[in-house]
Amino acid sequence: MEEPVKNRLRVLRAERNWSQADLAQKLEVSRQSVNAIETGKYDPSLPLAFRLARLFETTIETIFFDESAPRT
Amino acid sequence: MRLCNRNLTGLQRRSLALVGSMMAICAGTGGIFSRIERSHFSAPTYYVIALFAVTPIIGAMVVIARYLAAEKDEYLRHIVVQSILWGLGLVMVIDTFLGYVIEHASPHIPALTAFNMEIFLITAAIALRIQLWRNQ
Repeated sequence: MEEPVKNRLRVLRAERNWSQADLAQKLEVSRQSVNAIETGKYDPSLPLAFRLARLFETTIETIFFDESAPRT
Repeated sequence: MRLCNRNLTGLQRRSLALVGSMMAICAGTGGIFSRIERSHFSAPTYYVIALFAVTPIIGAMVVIARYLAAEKDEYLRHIVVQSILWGLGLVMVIDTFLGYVIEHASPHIPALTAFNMEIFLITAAIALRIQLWRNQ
Protein backbone atom coordinates (compact mmCIF):
# COMPACT_ATOMS: atom_id res chain seq x y z
CA MET A 1 0.00 0.00 0.00
CA GLU A 2 1.21 3.48 -0.87
CA GLU A 3 2.67 5.52 2.00
CA PRO A 4 0.76 8.73 2.64
CA VAL A 5 2.60 11.98 2.08
CA LYS A 6 3.73 13.54 5.38
CA ASN A 7 2.99 17.17 6.13
CA ARG A 8 3.81 20.01 8.53
CA LEU A 9 0.30 21.42 8.54
CA ARG A 10 -0.22 21.03 12.29
CA VAL A 11 3.06 22.83 13.05
CA LEU A 12 2.37 25.66 10.61
CA ARG A 13 -1.13 26.04 12.00
CA ALA A 14 0.11 26.06 15.60
CA GLU A 15 2.72 28.73 14.75
CA ARG A 16 -0.13 31.00 13.69
CA ASN A 17 -2.41 29.99 16.54
CA TRP A 18 -5.08 28.81 14.15
CA SER A 19 -7.57 26.10 15.02
CA GLN A 20 -8.57 23.49 12.44
CA ALA A 21 -11.85 25.37 12.06
CA ASP A 22 -9.98 28.64 11.38
CA LEU A 23 -7.86 27.02 8.70
CA ALA A 24 -10.91 25.32 7.20
CA GLN A 25 -12.69 28.66 7.01
CA LYS A 26 -9.71 30.32 5.32
CA LEU A 27 -9.46 27.48 2.79
CA GLU A 28 -13.26 27.29 2.33
CA VAL A 29 -13.31 23.56 3.07
CA SER A 30 -14.80 21.49 5.90
CA ARG A 31 -12.97 21.02 9.22
CA GLN A 32 -13.00 17.29 8.46
CA SER A 33 -10.95 18.02 5.33
CA VAL A 34 -8.28 19.83 7.35
CA ASN A 35 -8.23 17.02 9.92
CA ALA A 36 -7.99 14.33 7.22
CA ILE A 37 -5.09 16.13 5.52
CA GLU A 38 -3.28 16.79 8.82
CA THR A 39 -3.52 13.19 9.95
CA GLY A 40 -2.39 11.91 6.54
CA LYS A 41 -5.69 10.13 5.84
CA TYR A 42 -6.20 12.18 2.71
CA ASP A 43 -3.72 13.73 0.30
CA PRO A 44 -5.06 17.01 -1.11
CA SER A 45 -5.24 17.78 -4.82
CA LEU A 46 -2.65 20.09 -6.36
CA PRO A 47 -5.01 23.11 -6.44
CA LEU A 48 -5.73 22.69 -2.70
CA ALA A 49 -2.03 22.16 -1.96
CA PHE A 50 -1.26 25.41 -3.82
CA ARG A 51 -3.97 27.20 -1.82
CA LEU A 52 -2.38 25.92 1.39
CA ALA A 53 1.05 27.06 0.24
CA ARG A 54 -0.27 30.52 -0.64
CA LEU A 55 -2.07 30.78 2.70
CA PHE A 56 1.08 29.90 4.67
CA GLU A 57 3.23 31.99 2.28
CA THR A 58 5.53 29.10 1.55
CA THR A 59 6.07 26.36 -1.03
CA ILE A 60 4.21 23.07 -1.37
CA GLU A 61 7.45 21.18 -0.62
CA THR A 62 7.74 22.96 2.72
CA ILE A 63 4.31 21.74 3.75
CA PHE A 64 4.28 18.28 2.16
CA PHE A 65 7.16 15.85 1.95
CA ASP A 66 7.70 12.22 1.06
CA GLU A 67 9.92 10.46 3.59
CA SER A 68 10.40 7.43 1.35
CA ALA A 69 11.79 9.54 -1.52
CA PRO A 70 15.59 9.34 -2.00
CA ARG A 71 17.31 12.45 -0.66
CA THR A 72 19.38 14.40 -3.17
CA MET B 1 -19.63 22.73 5.54
CA ARG B 2 -20.02 19.87 7.98
CA LEU B 3 -21.98 16.96 6.62
CA CYS B 4 -24.14 16.40 9.69
CA ASN B 5 -27.73 17.19 10.51
CA ARG B 6 -26.96 20.31 12.52
CA ASN B 7 -24.89 22.20 10.01
CA LEU B 8 -25.70 21.30 6.42
CA THR B 9 -25.08 23.59 3.51
CA GLY B 10 -28.04 24.46 1.28
CA LEU B 11 -26.68 22.15 -1.40
CA GLN B 12 -26.35 19.24 1.03
CA ARG B 13 -29.83 19.85 2.48
CA ARG B 14 -31.43 20.01 -0.97
CA SER B 15 -29.59 16.90 -2.18
CA LEU B 16 -30.53 14.90 0.93
CA ALA B 17 -34.18 15.97 0.63
CA LEU B 18 -34.29 15.00 -3.05
CA VAL B 19 -32.59 11.63 -2.48
CA GLY B 20 -35.01 10.98 0.42
CA SER B 21 -37.94 11.78 -1.88
CA MET B 22 -36.60 9.41 -4.54
CA MET B 23 -36.26 6.70 -1.88
CA ALA B 24 -39.86 7.28 -0.76
CA ILE B 25 -41.11 7.15 -4.37
CA CYS B 26 -39.11 3.95 -4.91
CA ALA B 27 -40.62 2.36 -1.78
CA GLY B 28 -44.10 3.47 -2.89
CA THR B 29 -43.78 2.15 -6.42
CA GLY B 30 -42.27 -1.08 -5.05
CA GLY B 31 -45.37 -1.57 -2.91
CA ILE B 32 -47.73 -0.80 -5.81
CA PHE B 33 -45.87 -3.10 -8.21
CA SER B 34 -45.89 -6.01 -5.76
CA ARG B 35 -49.71 -5.66 -5.56
CA ILE B 36 -50.27 -5.61 -9.33
CA GLU B 37 -47.75 -8.41 -9.90
CA ARG B 38 -50.53 -11.01 -9.96
CA SER B 39 -52.44 -9.14 -12.66
CA HIS B 40 -51.85 -10.10 -16.28
CA PHE B 41 -50.75 -7.32 -18.56
CA SER B 42 -49.43 -7.24 -22.09
CA ALA B 43 -45.67 -7.27 -22.60
CA PRO B 44 -45.46 -3.55 -23.53
CA THR B 45 -47.31 -2.68 -20.28
CA TYR B 46 -44.66 -4.54 -18.29
CA TYR B 47 -41.98 -2.51 -20.08
CA VAL B 48 -43.75 0.69 -19.07
CA ILE B 49 -44.06 -0.52 -15.45
CA ALA B 50 -40.35 -1.42 -15.45
CA LEU B 51 -39.53 2.08 -16.72
CA PHE B 52 -41.59 3.61 -13.90
CA ALA B 53 -39.71 1.43 -11.40
CA VAL B 54 -36.29 2.69 -12.52
CA THR B 55 -37.28 6.37 -12.73
CA PRO B 56 -36.60 7.18 -9.03
CA ILE B 57 -33.27 5.31 -9.21
CA ILE B 58 -32.22 7.42 -12.21
CA GLY B 59 -33.48 10.48 -10.33
CA ALA B 60 -31.35 9.64 -7.29
CA MET B 61 -28.29 9.11 -9.52
CA VAL B 62 -28.86 12.52 -11.14
CA VAL B 63 -29.20 14.19 -7.71
CA ILE B 64 -25.99 12.54 -6.47
CA ALA B 65 -24.13 13.43 -9.68
CA ARG B 66 -25.28 17.05 -9.43
CA TYR B 67 -24.23 17.17 -5.76
CA LEU B 68 -20.78 15.83 -6.62
CA ALA B 69 -20.43 18.36 -9.44
CA ALA B 70 -21.44 21.26 -7.20
CA GLU B 71 -19.67 20.30 -3.94
CA LYS B 72 -16.56 22.48 -3.62
CA ASP B 73 -14.98 20.49 -0.79
CA GLU B 74 -12.87 17.80 -2.44
CA TYR B 75 -12.57 15.68 0.72
CA LEU B 76 -16.37 15.53 1.09
CA ARG B 77 -16.62 14.54 -2.59
CA HIS B 78 -14.02 11.84 -1.92
CA ILE B 79 -15.88 10.29 1.02
CA VAL B 80 -19.28 10.56 -0.71
CA VAL B 81 -17.86 8.61 -3.69
CA GLN B 82 -16.39 6.00 -1.32
CA SER B 83 -19.75 5.66 0.43
CA ILE B 84 -21.56 5.24 -2.90
CA LEU B 85 -19.11 2.45 -3.78
CA TRP B 86 -19.92 0.69 -0.50
CA GLY B 87 -23.63 0.98 -1.30
CA LEU B 88 -23.23 -0.34 -4.84
CA GLY B 89 -20.95 -3.12 -3.63
CA LEU B 90 -23.44 -4.39 -1.06
CA VAL B 91 -26.31 -4.27 -3.58
CA MET B 92 -24.25 -6.32 -6.06
CA VAL B 93 -23.27 -8.86 -3.38
CA ILE B 94 -26.86 -9.33 -2.17
CA ASP B 95 -28.27 -9.50 -5.73
CA THR B 96 -25.68 -11.99 -6.94
CA PHE B 97 -26.06 -14.21 -3.86
CA LEU B 98 -29.87 -14.19 -3.80
CA GLY B 99 -30.11 -14.48 -7.59
CA TYR B 100 -28.09 -17.69 -7.51
CA VAL B 101 -29.90 -19.10 -4.46
CA ILE B 102 -33.38 -18.31 -5.85
CA GLU B 103 -32.57 -19.82 -9.24
CA HIS B 104 -30.88 -22.99 -8.05
CA ALA B 105 -31.74 -23.77 -4.44
CA SER B 106 -34.70 -22.05 -2.92
CA PRO B 107 -37.10 -20.22 -5.25
CA HIS B 108 -39.33 -19.23 -2.33
CA ILE B 109 -36.81 -16.87 -0.74
CA PRO B 110 -38.16 -13.33 -1.23
CA ALA B 111 -36.09 -11.41 -3.74
CA LEU B 112 -34.64 -8.23 -2.29
CA THR B 113 -34.26 -6.68 -5.73
CA ALA B 114 -37.30 -4.50 -5.01
CA PHE B 115 -35.29 -2.91 -2.18
CA ASN B 116 -32.06 -2.31 -4.12
CA MET B 117 -32.45 1.44 -3.92
CA GLU B 118 -33.12 1.39 -0.18
CA ILE B 119 -30.21 -1.00 0.49
CA PHE B 120 -27.92 1.18 -1.62
CA LEU B 121 -28.87 4.47 0.03
CA ILE B 122 -28.92 3.14 3.60
CA THR B 123 -25.51 1.46 3.15
CA ALA B 124 -24.08 4.61 1.58
CA ALA B 125 -25.46 6.72 4.43
CA ILE B 126 -23.99 4.38 7.08
CA ALA B 127 -20.61 4.32 5.28
CA LEU B 128 -20.62 8.13 5.10
CA ARG B 129 -21.45 8.42 8.80
CA ILE B 130 -18.65 5.99 9.73
CA GLN B 131 -16.11 7.91 7.65
CA LEU B 132 -17.14 11.23 9.19
CA TRP B 133 -17.05 9.70 12.68
CA ARG B 134 -13.56 8.27 12.07
CA ASN B 135 -12.39 11.72 11.10
CA GLN B 136 -13.85 13.80 13.92
